[in-house]
This record gives sequence, structure tokens and C-alpha cells, in this order.
Amino acid sequence: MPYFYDLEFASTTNATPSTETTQMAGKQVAAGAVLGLYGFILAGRSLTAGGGAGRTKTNTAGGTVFSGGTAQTPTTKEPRAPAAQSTWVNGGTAITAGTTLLVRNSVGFAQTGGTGGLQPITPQAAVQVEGGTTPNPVDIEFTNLSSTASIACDITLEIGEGL
Amino acid sequence: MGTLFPVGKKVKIIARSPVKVAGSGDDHTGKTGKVRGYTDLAKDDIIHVIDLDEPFFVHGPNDPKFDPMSGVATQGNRVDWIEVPASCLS
Repeated sequence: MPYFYDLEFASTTNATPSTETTQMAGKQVAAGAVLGLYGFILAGRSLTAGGGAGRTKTNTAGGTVFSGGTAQTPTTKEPRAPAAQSTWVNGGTAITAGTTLLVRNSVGFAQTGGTGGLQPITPQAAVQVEGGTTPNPVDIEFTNLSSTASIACDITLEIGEGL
Repeated sequence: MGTLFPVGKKVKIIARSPVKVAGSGDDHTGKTGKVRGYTDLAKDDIIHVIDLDEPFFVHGPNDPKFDPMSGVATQGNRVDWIEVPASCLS
């Protein structure tokens, strides 16, 4: 069974409507365990009705890894579990996106608070990052966008390491 | 290929990173920590993940600096690790 972790970030969508911003990103260290995405949840907090979406993207092997961001440490679900090997950042400091991104899913949310999210039906159905000397894909990134500018949107990620 | 510091080694950051890395955009010169792992091994200058001996706190652009109810300054986001190129470590 994997060790599970969660990360939360209170994001604000882009100041230009319907424009993507990279809000969170993670990568596995060299020789790390398989990393899986077990939850991606978005919660809008606006008085203005409208639509938003969050996207999961993977950066194909060979691509340049994202840079920047404020370091964030995943919180263990089981208090005695080991610290996550993977490294994660949030958009507290601007994240420069990687170069060979592939959209893996898109989750809708209502700007006024209708939560959107996804959870894979089995661990094997999770979007995964293989460990190894050079992890593949090289990173996983999360963006959001909304039809109204600058919407407060909480993002929760649930990840697991090992299968 | 940059110098490889082994996992677990205690290191000190001796220079500001010339490349943009994850962690925080500030200058971390003088901070100490322990090597947790490596990322971006394909690059010429190996990027090390350093678990800091003393975590620090930063406020994001949208984070409140003060609690709206009490007026007490907020702590911000805790930063436990940073990425540092090998050329900036000793």
C-alpha cells in the first residue's frame, strides 16, 4: 500500500479571465518511489457566478522541469508515516511551467462554491510518475482558470508514494 | 557534471543560485541543511534537494499578513526544503 499525503493551497485564478495559471507542481526525486495522484479537488469562493476548471498536466520525459514556486511539504495522512520523497511547490512564488506538458484531466468547479474533484477508481488508474534515475514523466503540474478574473479557489491534492 | 553531494550529507549554501529553482526565490546563502535527494540529474549542474535545519516562512502574494479578526501578524507558509545547485554548496 502507498503512503498517502495531502497538500492544500489557497490559490487565486489569473487576473485575466479564462487564462491559465500554474498553481501547484511536483516532481519525484531521482530513485524515488512511484508517485500517484489520488485526489485533485478545487473549491471556488466567489460572489460572482461563473465557471472554472482545474487541469492536471504531466511533463513528458525529456522536457524541461518547472522552476520557481514556494516549497510546500506534503502532510502525511498517517502521522508516523515517513516524509514524502517527492518535492512540491505552490504558486506563492510564481511557477514557471515545464515545456512538454500533456493535459491529463480537467475538473470543473463553480466560482460560487460548487466543488469539483476527481479520485481514481483504483491506484493503477491514478496519474503516475515513475521513479528511477530520471523520473518519468519529469513532473506533474496543476493549473486553474475561471471565466471571471481573480477568483479565490482552494486546491487540495492527495498523493501517494509506492503502489 | 556538477559535484554530487551524497544523500544525508550536511551542507551549507554558499552562494545564490544562478538558475531558477524550486523552493523560494530568495537568496539562501548561509543556510544549512541535509541532502534529501536530487532532481534534474540530466542538467550539467546537479540540483540538490536540501532539508533545512531551520525552516523559514514566506507569505504568498494573496496571503494575509495579519489576522483580520485579531490583527495579529500571520506566520505565512512554512518552507522546509529548497533546491540548490551543487555549485552553490559546500
